[in-house]
Amino acid sequence: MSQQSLPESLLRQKLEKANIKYNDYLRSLTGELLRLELISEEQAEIIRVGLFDSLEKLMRIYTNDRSSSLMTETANSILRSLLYNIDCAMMDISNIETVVDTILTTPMMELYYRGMVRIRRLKCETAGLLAKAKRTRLRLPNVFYNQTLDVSLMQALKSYDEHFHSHLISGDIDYPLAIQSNTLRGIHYLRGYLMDLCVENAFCREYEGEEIARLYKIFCDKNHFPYSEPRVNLYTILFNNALFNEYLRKDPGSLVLTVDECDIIEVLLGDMSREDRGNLLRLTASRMMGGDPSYNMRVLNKSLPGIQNAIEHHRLKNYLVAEL
Amino acid sequence: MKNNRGLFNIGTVLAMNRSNDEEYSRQLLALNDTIDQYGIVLTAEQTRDLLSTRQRALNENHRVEMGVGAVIPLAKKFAGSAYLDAGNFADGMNIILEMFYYYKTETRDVIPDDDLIDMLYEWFEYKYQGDLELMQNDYFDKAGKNAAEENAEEYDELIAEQDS
Repeated sequence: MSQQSLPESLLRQKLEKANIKYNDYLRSLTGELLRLELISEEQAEIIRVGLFDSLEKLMRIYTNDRSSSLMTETANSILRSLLYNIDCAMMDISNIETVVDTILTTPMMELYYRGMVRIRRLKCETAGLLAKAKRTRLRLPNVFYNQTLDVSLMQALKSYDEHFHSHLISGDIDYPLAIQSNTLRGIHYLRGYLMDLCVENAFCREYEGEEIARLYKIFCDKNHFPYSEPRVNLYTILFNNALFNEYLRKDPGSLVLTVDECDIIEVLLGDMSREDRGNLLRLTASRMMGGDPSYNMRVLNKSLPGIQNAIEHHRLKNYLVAEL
Repeated sequence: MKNNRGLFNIGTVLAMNRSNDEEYSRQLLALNDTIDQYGIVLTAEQTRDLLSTRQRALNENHRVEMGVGAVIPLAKKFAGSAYLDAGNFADGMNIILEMFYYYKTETRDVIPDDDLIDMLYEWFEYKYQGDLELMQNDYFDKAGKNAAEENAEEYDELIAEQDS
C-alpha cells in the first residue's frame, strides 16, 4: 500500500512517535513506515539503492576519483555523514506527508545537498551563539570554561566538515554543562551546547561579578582546588546557592550562604517528605526568573536527589557553598 | 518493533555491492575485447574467481569498494606483462589483487590506485622479473607491513617535494 493515499492527519495518527528518532530520522521513519505497511519493501529498496549510489558518488569525491576503495571505517563515516545531511534536509519539512513524499521521490544526492545548505545556515547560527556566549562570559579563572570559550568551540566550528563527517564534532569541548546531551550529533550538538551555555551565562549574569567571584573562591578553597582547575559546571554551583537564597528570601543579588543558614534550611525542610520538599523547591525555583526557567527546572530536577540526600544527612553546608 | 539498524548501514551497502557480482562478471568478460591483443582471454569461471578473491581481499583488509573497482585497471595493466600469458594470467591476477588491497590499507590510502598499480607492475616486471612468489615474500608477509608503511612515507615525502 502506498502512503500517497493517506492524508497528513491520518499519517500523523498512525505513526508511533516513540519509534521516530530525530537523530536517526531517515532510518527510523522508514522503519516505522515499513512497520505500518505505509510503504512497501520495494519502495524501501529504492531508498537503499539511492543511498548506495550516493555513497559511491561521495566516495569518488572523497578520493578525488583516485581510489575505487576505502577503509570500511572511512566509508562508514561517509555513509553516516550522508544520512545526517539527508536527515537535516528532511527535518526542514514540517509536514510529515511531504517528508514521506520527498524521500520516495527526491534523489538522495539532492537531499544530501539540501541538507548541506541547512547545515551551513546552522553553522552561521552557531557562530552567532559562540559570539554571544563569549560576550556574556563569566570573569572567572576557570581554565576549562575559558579554554572552551576561547579555543575549543571555535576549533570545532572551523574544522566541522559538512561534506564527509557532518555527524561528527572534532576536538575536546572540556567544559561540562549542567545537562549534557547524549542524543545530538554534528552541528546540532555544537549548536545545542552553545544555546545551553548562553542560557547558563544569562542566569549567572543576573548576579554581580564580585559575588560570583566570592562564591567561586569559597568553593575552590573549600575543596582545595587551584582556582584555575576545577572541572565543574559553574552555573550549577551558582544555581544551587541561588535556589536556597531565594528559599530564605535573602537579598536577590546574594549567593553565598553561611553554615548557620544551611543548618536553618535543614531544620525547616528536614521533617518534610521527599515529595513535599521537592515540590517546595520547585516552587522556589519557579520564582527565579534569571536565564531560562524551564532549563532551571530541568537542572533542579537533576540535582534534586543530591539535594534531598544532603538535607537528610545534614550535609547541606558541604553540598552548597557556605562560609563560616 | 523491528530493529531499523540494518536498513541503511554499511553492512547493507556491502551486501548490495556483492549482489551486483553478476553485472561485475559481465564487465570483466567485456575486458577480453581489450586484453585479447596479448593472447589472454578470461573465462566466466575465472572472472568469478577474481571477484571472489577481490571480495576476500577487501574483507581481510577492512575495505569497501563500490562497483567492480580496481580489477579492471589492474588486469589491463598486467595483461601487457612479459611474464603473464593465457596460462598463468588468471592465477597471477588473483595474487596481484590480494597484494593491491593489502597495500592500499597498509599505506593508509595515501597512494592513488593508478600509482599503486604502476608501482606493483614495475616491481613485478623489472625488480622481480615475474617472480610473484618472491615478490610476495618480500612485500606481503609480516615484514612487508613495514615495507608498505615505508613506501607510504616515501610517497608522502615525494609528493611534498613535488608540491613545494
